[in-house]
Amino acid sequence: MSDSIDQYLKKDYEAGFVSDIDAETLAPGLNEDVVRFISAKKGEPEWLLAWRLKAFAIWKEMTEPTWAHVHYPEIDFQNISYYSAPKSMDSRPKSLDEVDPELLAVYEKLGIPLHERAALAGVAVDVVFDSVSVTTTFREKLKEVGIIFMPISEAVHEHPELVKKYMGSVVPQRDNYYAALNSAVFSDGSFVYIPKGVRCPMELSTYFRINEANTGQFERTLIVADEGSHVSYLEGCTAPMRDENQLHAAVVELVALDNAEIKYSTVQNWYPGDKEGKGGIYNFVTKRGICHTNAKISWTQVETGSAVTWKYPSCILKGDNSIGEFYSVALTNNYQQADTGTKMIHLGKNTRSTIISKGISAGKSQGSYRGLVKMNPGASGARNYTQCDSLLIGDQCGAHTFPYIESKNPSAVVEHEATTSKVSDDQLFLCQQRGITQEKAVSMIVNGFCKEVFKELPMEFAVEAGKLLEVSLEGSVG
Amino acid sequence: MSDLRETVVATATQWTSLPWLAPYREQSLARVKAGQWPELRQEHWMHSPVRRLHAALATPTPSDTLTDKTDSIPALDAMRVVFVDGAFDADASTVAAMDGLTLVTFSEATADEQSRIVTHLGSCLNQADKRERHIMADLNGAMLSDGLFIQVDKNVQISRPIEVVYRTTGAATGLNNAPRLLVVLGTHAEATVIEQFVNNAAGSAVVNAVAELVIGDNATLKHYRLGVDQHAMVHVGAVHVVLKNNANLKGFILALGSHFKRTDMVVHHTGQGSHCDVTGLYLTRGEEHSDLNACIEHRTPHCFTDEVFRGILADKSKAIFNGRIHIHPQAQKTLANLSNKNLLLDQGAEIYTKPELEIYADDVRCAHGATVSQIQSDALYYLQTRGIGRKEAEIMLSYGFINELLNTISVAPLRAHLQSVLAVQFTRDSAILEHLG
Repeated sequence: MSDSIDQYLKKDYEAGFVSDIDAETLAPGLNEDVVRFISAKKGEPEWLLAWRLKAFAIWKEMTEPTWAHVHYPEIDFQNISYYSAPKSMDSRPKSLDEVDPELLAVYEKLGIPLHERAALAGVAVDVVFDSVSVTTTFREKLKEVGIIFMPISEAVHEHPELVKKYMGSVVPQRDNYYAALNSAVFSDGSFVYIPKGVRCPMELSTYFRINEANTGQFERTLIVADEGSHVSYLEGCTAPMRDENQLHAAVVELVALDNAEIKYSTVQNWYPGDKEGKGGIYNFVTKRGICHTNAKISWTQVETGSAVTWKYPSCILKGDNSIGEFYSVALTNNYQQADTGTKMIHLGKNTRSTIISKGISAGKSQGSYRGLVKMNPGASGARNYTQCDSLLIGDQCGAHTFPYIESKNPSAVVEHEATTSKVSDDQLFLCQQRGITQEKAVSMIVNGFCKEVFKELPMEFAVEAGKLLEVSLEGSVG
Repeated sequence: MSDLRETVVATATQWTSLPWLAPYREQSLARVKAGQWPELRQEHWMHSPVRRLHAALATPTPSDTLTDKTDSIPALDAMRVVFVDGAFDADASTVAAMDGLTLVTFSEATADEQSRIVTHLGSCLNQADKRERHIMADLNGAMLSDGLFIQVDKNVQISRPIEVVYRTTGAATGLNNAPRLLVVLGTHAEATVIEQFVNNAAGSAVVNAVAELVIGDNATLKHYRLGVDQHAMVHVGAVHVVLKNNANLKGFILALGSHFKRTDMVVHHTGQGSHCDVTGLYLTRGEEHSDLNACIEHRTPHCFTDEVFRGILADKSKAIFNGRIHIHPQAQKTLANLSNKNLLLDQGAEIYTKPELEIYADDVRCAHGATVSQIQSDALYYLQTRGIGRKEAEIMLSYGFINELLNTISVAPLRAHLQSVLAVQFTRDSAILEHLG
């Protein structure tokens, strides 16, 4: 078995190439001028610059959070470049034909559905390369039904009233250290608006890639689903292999107005660092959605990448009868560390939430589930069910569970259960008895373990996620 | 805040009592000086009303005498040791000499006993990491003046329970009410220890009590800690346990709410094959507060932990439960379970529960579950269809919720006593008492 472990450990990170694309990168460092530079570069209106500067002032007063169960050397925020854009993007392409072929080749290599593939897969993609949105497909078609899907930097100009109204309404600048940083220096991201009563005819998708060295990626996604609308949104991420750690601090805000539904799925495969734990992405992300009356937000995430993950997609269940869901698979291997989970804040009557979290720790990694379920005094008849299971593979890893349960309403019901164990010897034996190899059996068992989450993913992603997991686990069981 | 801290440190620095305990007091004082003062911004205290604790430590309490002496457990044949405001009360105590049993207060210990006490004093506390042995436990050490030492020799089984009663009158200034219990069980020894905390309803006072329990190879200790002190009482307490090979702990904690109550239970599995069964109950009402922390440290392989905690919160009371199971990398083949269930009876009651698993070994099976809800409506309905009024039905069901745990108490007189005490606690109306039996 140790042979196959070695074999696995040698396995390359498949998305770890660097693309040789001319880029305009700002020198490392962070001060007010940098914020002004980014804003000017985007030709932003005065109000947005003021908003950024306010966030920067707040950030300067804040201290880095240390409560998460992760350890990493201190980040030097002055040693990061806060803006990097592919140069050839200065004159924005009108169609995919005008996109730098090398860029297209990158996405080809990644195997993401873009261009014709996009048509086949029926997915509209917004590609964010380093900090800038490169191309958005299917915009015209979406426009026909009134859906706005564009880089947030364009939305600022074309739909300032929407951006102004909703940006920062779910994750305010002051929310936390990394959200404040993002608010000050965010460069681009996706903006989605689904009008009243519209059901988005296709899956929307954003692909994030960090390419330049020494840069941080700070994108901001804002999705607004107006009354009675429905949208499913996918997000994928990769980064090159580098020795140094790179910072990714994103903010995602979801607004589901009355009777709307948003489904947000993520397959996160940032570079996790090498087998010695060198390099890799620090993934410090703030994701939160707000549900108005009868609305529903569903987060699904498959986390296999990043050296350090610090991420808690949350739902504020403000309206009566609203629903929040969180399905997560978090896999850590080698020296990866993940502290991830969710927050369900129940404010309205009869609000419901479900949390299903599956953690898999292998190698020398540490995986933690940290979740908060909060029933406020007004949350009469609210209901929560939480299940978080951890699977340990190897005797040098750790799996931890830190659930916080707070209830201030007697009619609210909260249920939490958690288990931690290794792959059962009995199950393995049964499979092997039936002629299935140990490796295959483990893969089957792990897949079964995660099934409750995978079934929530859109089809294309479910296939990708299953494969990702299989590859990540190959040979790590003995 | 820093003023209060300085005052406390100054008081502890000037404190003098038994000279042979001075080195231990100094060690503890050094820790107090280096330790973190309980504050809301610390994770471990963030939901606790620490202001109440600070206020009680800052303000000297009025002198009062204990009028309510109903702390005896009917029909319980036990050796009884009584402390009043941290000092031994010989008149109220009944102790019989027995072979193989050392039962002596620190103030009356002989030279030989003193050396045995010094050997074991702090041995459990020192195992705990900084987070679990907070400043209040060190403060107990720094202010240590008297305590009880129980040592059971190898192969000796003491069937008669040992009852330790801590009465708080309010005459104490607070910090000096710092009793310590030290229990050391030799190989194959057995004992039952009941700790009971009572107070005077009229006075407001502080008690800061620490128990250290060292359970030797194959030894069994039944430990009952009954925090029945209520009202304006500020009670901070800790139980630190070390389990050796195949040792057994059957622990029971009862915490009735008071102005501020915090109980920390820390168990270290340091030998192979040891068992730890802990049951806990917390019942709060009015504007009371109860904070219960249980931390089980699995340091060695093949050990077992089973924890069941239940709480009932009425009126505008608040309770906190933290249950941590920490499996160290060497502790393979561990089985650990924790269950925490809470009933919220009224709008305004608040519960903060956090069952934690921290696991660094792979061949283990650990699980925890936590629930918060009110009484099930169909159970209520069922009783109502049988002609029982809603209020009574609620009381019956909540009483049943905890009676399940009381039934696990193996000392029959103690069980009967607690059942009647808690029945009264629930009903506040004797007419309903007849339904509970």
